[in-house]
Amino acid sequence: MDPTSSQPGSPAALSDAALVRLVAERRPEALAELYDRFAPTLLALARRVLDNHADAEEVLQEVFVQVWNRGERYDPARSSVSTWLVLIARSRAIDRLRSRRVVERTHEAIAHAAIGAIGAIGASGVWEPHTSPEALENVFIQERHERVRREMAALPAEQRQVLEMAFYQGLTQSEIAAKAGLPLGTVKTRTLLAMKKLRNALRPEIRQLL
Amino acid sequence: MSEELTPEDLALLAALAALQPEAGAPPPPAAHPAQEPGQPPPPGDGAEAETLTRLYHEVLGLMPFALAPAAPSPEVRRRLMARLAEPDLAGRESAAAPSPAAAPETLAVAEPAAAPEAPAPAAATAPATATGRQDRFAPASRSRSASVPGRSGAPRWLSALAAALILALLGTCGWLLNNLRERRDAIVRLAVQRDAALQHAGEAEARLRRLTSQVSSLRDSFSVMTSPAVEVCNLRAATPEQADARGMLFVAADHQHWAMSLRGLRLPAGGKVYQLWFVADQGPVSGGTFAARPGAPVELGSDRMPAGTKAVRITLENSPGSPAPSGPDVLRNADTLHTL
Repeated sequence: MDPTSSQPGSPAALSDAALVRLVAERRPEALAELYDRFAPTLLALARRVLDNHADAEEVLQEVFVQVWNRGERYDPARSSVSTWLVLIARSRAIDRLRSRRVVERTHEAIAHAAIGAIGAIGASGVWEPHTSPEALENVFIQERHERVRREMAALPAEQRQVLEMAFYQGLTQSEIAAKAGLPLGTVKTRTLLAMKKLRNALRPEIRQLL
Repeated sequence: MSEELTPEDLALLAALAALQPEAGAPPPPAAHPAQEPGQPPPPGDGAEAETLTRLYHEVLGLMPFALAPAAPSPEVRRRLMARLAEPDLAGRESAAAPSPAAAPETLAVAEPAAAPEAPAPAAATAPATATGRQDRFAPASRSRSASVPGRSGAPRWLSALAAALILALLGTCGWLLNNLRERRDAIVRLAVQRDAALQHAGEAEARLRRLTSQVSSLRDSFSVMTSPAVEVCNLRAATPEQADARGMLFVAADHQHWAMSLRGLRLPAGGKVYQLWFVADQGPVSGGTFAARPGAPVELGSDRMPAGTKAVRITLENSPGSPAPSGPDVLRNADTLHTL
């Protein structure tokens, strides 16, 4: 996704990888732009895994804290930023799913109030939050949503099911076979078919990412 | 199935296996990823396997884009940015400094068991520009330490911590006070509701008592009227002013229980009441006073009747009644009591 914005210097005009490099240099405005681009997708992913909006929002925050802490570890030769973020969010969400704990609401509220009070001071003067709904990157992401949704919907239901169980529930193929009552070979075949179909259908998207 | 697996299949399965937390960080495709039992290793052609695995890795990364985007609340973004300003996160670069004496990294969020990493190619250290992407933005050149002012000395750090604690305390107090106020308001609201409910219940109870009394009275009257050998007597108007007034007197066989039904009585003038008299051997005996409303019947009754009663009279007396008939007759019995 090469930026074509006419506002050089603005974070909204930067590629995803450039933003991550700036995050590694401790530039909060770069993290904010990454957040604006990917938070809706990552939140949808976490919510799909956890089936709980509040937990999903906590995971979302943890993901970007991790990006802030480990931004310098991102290697564009290994994956796109989009996939890197998606897999961090997925891992966080599944990790939380497996060790979900009940947080006492009162403590949560107090913590939020305290963080909010500190944040009100900490954020002031550091940077000005902004949104760039018209930015080209956002348009690309919206188009990506539409295309991937269409191609996923076009998959046969049984193929989509095994793929989603692997991705959103973190199940191995053996676990999927046991849970769905299918032979392991069938699960593998369905997975392979689904992935190949997606790969062929989403070539333009993958080309943009690579 | 393993006999039919192509190199592409193996690369694909490697990408999938890399998703498993148990596998830890996904190894490079050239090496063998975590495998399902019986799964053969990826093909020996490292470059091809690497490309294919990366390809399917990206396919997996696209999957969440099939979900409808969910808008996080603005509070999440605000909290995140506030969190970046916290000393433990803002001071992370100290840990990355080459000096071993630097402060250790204190991450606010623990690394998950399976921190995802993209599959590492053989040339994992390739520079970012290897992607061929040209980033037009030239970030401002500044050192990390310069990007986080105010971290140079312990006193400032302690001040920031103290300020944070004070703010947290103030926030907590504010929250508690607000909570207390809300609870107090809720208690007052509930008390008002309770009082209203109690009043309503009292009114309903009084109405029920009245209705029960009326039902009981009607039952008694009905019992008298339908008793065997009941005697009945017609009552007629005794004055032209109350020409529409009429009534019936029912007396049970024991000559004690009686019931009276009156119609057409006018509303008595101010300070006046109707008074019932039993005319017995010793003279008129008061049976009590009562009021009347236009159009509404008057039902009277009792389980006592003076001995030797031969007739009844209803007169209009000054309130609250008279010891002996003194006002004009309104109704009187048209005939003597006779057995039905």
